[in-house]
Amino acid sequence: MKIVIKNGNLHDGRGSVLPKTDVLIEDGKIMQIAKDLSIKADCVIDAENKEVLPGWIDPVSGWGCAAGRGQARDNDEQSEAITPQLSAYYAFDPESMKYQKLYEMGITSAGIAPANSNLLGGSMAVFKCWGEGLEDMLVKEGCAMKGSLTQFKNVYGSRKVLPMTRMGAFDLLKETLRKAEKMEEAEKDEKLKALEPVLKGEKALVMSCNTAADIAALRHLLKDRKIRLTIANAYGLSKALLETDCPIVLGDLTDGFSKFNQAVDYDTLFAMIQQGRPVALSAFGDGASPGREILLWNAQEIARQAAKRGLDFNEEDLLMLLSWNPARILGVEDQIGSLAPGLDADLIVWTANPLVSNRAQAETVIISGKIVKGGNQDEAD
Amino acid sequence: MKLIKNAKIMTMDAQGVLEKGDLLIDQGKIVEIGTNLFEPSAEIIDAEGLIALPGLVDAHSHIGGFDIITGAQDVNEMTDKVTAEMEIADGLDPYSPMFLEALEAGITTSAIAPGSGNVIGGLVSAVKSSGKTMDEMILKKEVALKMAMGGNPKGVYGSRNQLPMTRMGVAAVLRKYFRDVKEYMRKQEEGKTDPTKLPVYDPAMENGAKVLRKEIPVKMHCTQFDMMTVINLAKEFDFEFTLDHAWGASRYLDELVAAHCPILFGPIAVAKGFGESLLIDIDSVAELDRRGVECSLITDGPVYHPWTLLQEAGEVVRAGLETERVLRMVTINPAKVMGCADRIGSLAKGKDADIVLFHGMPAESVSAYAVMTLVNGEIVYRN
Repeated sequence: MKIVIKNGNLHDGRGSVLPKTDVLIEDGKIMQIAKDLSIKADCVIDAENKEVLPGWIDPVSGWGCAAGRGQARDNDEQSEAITPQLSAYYAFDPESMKYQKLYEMGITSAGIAPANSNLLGGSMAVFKCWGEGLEDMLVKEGCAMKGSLTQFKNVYGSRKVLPMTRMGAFDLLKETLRKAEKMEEAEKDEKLKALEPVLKGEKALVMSCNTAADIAALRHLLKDRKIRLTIANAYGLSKALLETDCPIVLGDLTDGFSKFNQAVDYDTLFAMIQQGRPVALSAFGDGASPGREILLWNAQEIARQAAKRGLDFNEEDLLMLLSWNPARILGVEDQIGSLAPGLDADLIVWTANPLVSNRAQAETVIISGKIVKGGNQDEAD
Repeated sequence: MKLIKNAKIMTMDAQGVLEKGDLLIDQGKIVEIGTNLFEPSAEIIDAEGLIALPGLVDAHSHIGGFDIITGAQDVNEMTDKVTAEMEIADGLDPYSPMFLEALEAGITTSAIAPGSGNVIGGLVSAVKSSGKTMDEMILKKEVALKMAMGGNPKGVYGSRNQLPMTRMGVAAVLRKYFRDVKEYMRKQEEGKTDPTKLPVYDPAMENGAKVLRKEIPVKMHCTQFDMMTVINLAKEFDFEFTLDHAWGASRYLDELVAAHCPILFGPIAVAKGFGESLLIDIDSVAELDRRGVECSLITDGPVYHPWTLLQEAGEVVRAGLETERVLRMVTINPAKVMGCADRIGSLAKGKDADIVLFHGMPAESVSAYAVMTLVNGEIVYRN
């Protein structure tokens, strides 16, 4: 099926705007982006005076891992603190994901991660927010290893088992890494084997950290190792991070029961953004079940914080934190996260720019080249 | 005296919108609103390019009572399903950082309620966001009697194998309470002629009597079909009420319009799930407003940070309602619901000088933020 989106203002997600431009979509991909395309299509969507944005990516999330409020989260294996052998692929339920209709609030893909209970929780996977089941929605399996320093005290400390303290947590991490590095191949169990690509720097390690102290201690532990670190939650940063190339996924800002999310180190964060470093936003922090509005609300809070500081930070800069940057962090920028020929056709035609005005509505949503909402037809699900 | 000059003033009152106007403040009150006001002794606040709104009002929160920073959980007395004698002010810490956050978000007054763990939680107060002690901060001590339907009391008492374990149980607890209050009031009436018949003073009953005498409404935590149960209970016992949270309102539009009760909607941004969170439909607020229902928006703080009040408003704008109508839901509508519209909620001569100056149009512009917040004529926040 060929779809042409006509005359929209295209925001490519990498900082550029192409006014009044057409997009040709075929076989799930963006085939061409140009002005005045004259191609016979099965479906033509008029986007004149509308804004075409790439679908956003929530890079470190638990979408699709819980059916409802208060229900067990299938990405939260709280039986031991070191579980790198697990994969969030098996926690993900496509129906649970589709039920939230995240795409109506701009999101078309998400990095699905083990929750924040474990020091090393397991592998992440990237899925679309809509599709015909697990394989159809999968973008990439095993894109990163996920760990966390934010919740172990609540989960394990309350049971009076290791790790109860930060000392305990770091000792456990250190010992696990040592074994994975030094042990004979034949003696390694599945946990240690799962860490091999992380130690070689082939697979990123995404660690949730709430404070500058956690980040500093973690960097000390990983010094002289090849591990590629990404920090999630990341409320407390430090100037030292400006000297690194460590990507940042800023966690949820709305949850009023977080001790950390109103003490964000915005000076460092905006300095990183202005350096062009991979900074992304997420709807998830340490809270249990965010709603689909939260990623956009967090983005709006970033816009507000920038405005309060009088920074040169526009809506294209903000869009990058939701599109190109999370795609880069997850290593899927060749598939999703921007508008360019050859990439998956995951895009939304908005009635106005949602990063500028709350009048904006997601009018037509296209995921993997299929019209999921609008586009002169009923919703696909 | 202070004179705010050249703001776009959205009064939420009879004066409507002044494209370029001035506000004169003296002794904590607004003394004049108009154009080209002149007062040589006043301190001038240049508000050129800014938008002046009445201080925002959050119609339902728990700030100061729950707080992760101070460790407070002082407003959910989950030891008895009926604690109608509780007074919220006793559980509130004026130094909770949430009050500062509220000022930064432009919220100058909140209706602070006991939590929803009990079927009947206690008295709700209208509290200003600025002050050293609760006595200073309380605008109106008795605003409503807080009650809760559904999952919260079920979760607390049901897990102990106690009443109420079910929605039937919650309604039965409420009926029993109101029957007891009626009996208490009957004895009081009899006591007027025969003092031996006077009941023993019972603050839990006294608070219920205030509800049945319609001095204060019931502030009812409820969602989905629980709202219909509340409407029926209110008919049965003849009391006034607000429906707080009100998820699922779009299924009952006609009934809610007929019930003529205020809707205090929110918070949203919760994952859609089963039961109470099956349908979270903030767009229903736009429709209810068009049909004459008085709607307000709420943060349920500290469940969500104060700044999300305007995010909720933004979602109602997205649903298609005019911005000025939406801003009424965070100013004059909640002020009316709290019975405080003589003091707050709009900009008018004689009202408290609770004023926010915004850069950008709140609820509409994504990056709009409060530049300055005044409470009782004092600048209590400045960006």
